[in-house]
Amino acid sequence: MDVLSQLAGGFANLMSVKNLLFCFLGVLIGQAVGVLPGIGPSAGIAILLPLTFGGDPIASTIMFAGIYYGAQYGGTLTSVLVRIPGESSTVMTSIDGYEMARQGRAGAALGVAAIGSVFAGLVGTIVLAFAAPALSKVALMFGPAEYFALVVIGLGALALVGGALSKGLLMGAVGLALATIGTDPQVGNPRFTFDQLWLLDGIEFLVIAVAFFGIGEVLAQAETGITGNEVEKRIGSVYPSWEELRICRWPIVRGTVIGYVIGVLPGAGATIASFITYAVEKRVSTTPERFGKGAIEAVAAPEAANNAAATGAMVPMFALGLPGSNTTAVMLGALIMFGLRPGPALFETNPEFVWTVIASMFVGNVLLAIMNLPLVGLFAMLLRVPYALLYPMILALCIAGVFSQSNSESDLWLAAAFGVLGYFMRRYEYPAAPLILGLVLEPMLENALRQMMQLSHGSLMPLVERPIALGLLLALAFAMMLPLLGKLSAGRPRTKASGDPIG
Amino acid sequence: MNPEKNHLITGDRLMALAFALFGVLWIVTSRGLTYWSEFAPGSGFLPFWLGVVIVMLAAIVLVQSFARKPDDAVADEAVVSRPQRVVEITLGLFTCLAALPYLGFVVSITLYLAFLIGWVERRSLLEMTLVPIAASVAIFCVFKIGLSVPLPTGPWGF
Repeated sequence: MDVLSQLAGGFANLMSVKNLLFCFLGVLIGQAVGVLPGIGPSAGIAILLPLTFGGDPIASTIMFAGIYYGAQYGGTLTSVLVRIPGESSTVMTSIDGYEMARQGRAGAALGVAAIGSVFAGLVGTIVLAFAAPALSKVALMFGPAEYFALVVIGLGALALVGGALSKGLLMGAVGLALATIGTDPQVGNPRFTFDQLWLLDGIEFLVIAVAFFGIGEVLAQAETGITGNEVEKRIGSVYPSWEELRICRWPIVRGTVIGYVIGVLPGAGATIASFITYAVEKRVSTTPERFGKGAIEAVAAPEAANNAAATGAMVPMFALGLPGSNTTAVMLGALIMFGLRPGPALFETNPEFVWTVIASMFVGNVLLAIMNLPLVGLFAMLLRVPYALLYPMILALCIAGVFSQSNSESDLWLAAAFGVLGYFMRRYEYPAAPLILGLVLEPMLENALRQMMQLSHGSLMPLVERPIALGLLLALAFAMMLPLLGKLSAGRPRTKASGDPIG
Repeated sequence: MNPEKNHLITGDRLMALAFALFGVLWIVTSRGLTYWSEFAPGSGFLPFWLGVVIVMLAAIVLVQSFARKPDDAVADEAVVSRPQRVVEITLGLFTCLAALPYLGFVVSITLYLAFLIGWVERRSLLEMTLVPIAASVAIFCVFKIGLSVPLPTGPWGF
């Protein structure tokens, strides 16, 4: 009841013109940020931070929170309509979402993404309000061994959902290797730079994502000549049907749970949440062959997961003073700048601040639905633009996005080269998603591995001795063995009751 | 056998070989880094083992490609392959990138888009003119002016 009364107080504080305006602005800016490649929510918040110096910390934090979950949906727009993920957490959405758009179901894809996002955001906010301290205790149980196992399970699960397992694992390993280019995260010495100064910063996720999903996709479609003329022009209903919503209800719930749990873990983030959710949905589906070809639940679940993870990332930030993601790391800096001390005491020392921000997340998620559901048809109209005119603009946006991230022409050349590689990978069926996940997660994997081995004096035994880590790895091993066991049992001849083979 | 399927299998094997060479490069290069430091892995530990894993997996993919029957290769016989468009778009892209520091974002992108729309896609003169200018100016305004994010500028400031 105490929580409810404090939440009611938060809503009362929120109902001022200024706070509501900042909430609206945050969601609006967040969506714009999500659409534009090269500008992520952390960059959006960082750009606006100087403007909030000396301002109201509550209103500013409300806006920053709105930017964060608004950006998740903004990234979905480009993922579905032109297959360029605006955020790393929308990479999985682009796979089936774009296929749905090609089938004239862009409206349904965007609609279910909005519904899933809002549901996950609202549920996540409720859990944040009631369970933040308890969830923080669970997050504290994750040490280096658990984080290592989590990344391995994420990569392994993703490799399982692609075509050939060997190719999926190979691409994951290549992504991990590419991420070692740059500077050693612990020691700081350069590695794999081949005496090129511009490689010291490593290879950014955006460069690879734009290369594979933007440039590579354009080249692949140019070769086969699949243009807008072949893509189904009929937009169809702009909202998902009741049957489609019925299909998506449990994927949205599962995505919300998985996404939130992973989002609570400091450093895990929405990306790995969306990847794991996709893998789980494909595993539990009775028709997994539809995944990759426009399965609506393959859009709904990752979208719910990434919004739930964004909300879950607030838990360690508020309750422990630990950032749950890159964006909450920037927000944490903002809170400290405002003179607040995030951590367990924040709920006691600044209850008005905490509960007003939590209340704003309810309102912000509702605003997300109000702003987007009526506009779904408008967004889907983008598909009526002839592809011959659309893809040049996509390429221009890719160039602008990559350059804006690092102000580096070298990254542009890198994107172009990887774009050609992406074309060949698409042609010869080497999946790009595991490579991207490997690139994004390698820092977490390597830090966890080295910390674990430092603590254990060079031993890998913590992976076996710590129950959570062992459980995660066993679950992955079991999931990998399932296809093999399935093949073995399919090949064994059936026998009659007498034991003699049939036929 | 369908030449397209033959080509796909050959390309598959070449890709596997290329990734295997990448793995070898990583193994060799990581030998120049610290493998083990006191009782903890050094900079070269994970990259070395990643290189080993990559070579092993590439070898598995290569072996699997030889084990595949030619008819297993997925090739849509109804789709006509037009590789020259890929070459044109790619060469145009590299030319555009080379021109960026000298001509700036707006001019370079306008010329590249005009090439794509007019030459590669054979669209009308009106589309070839209006779309590139509108797109490049709009993107420049959003990034440079709206978000204060830098874009390459030529001698004329845009």
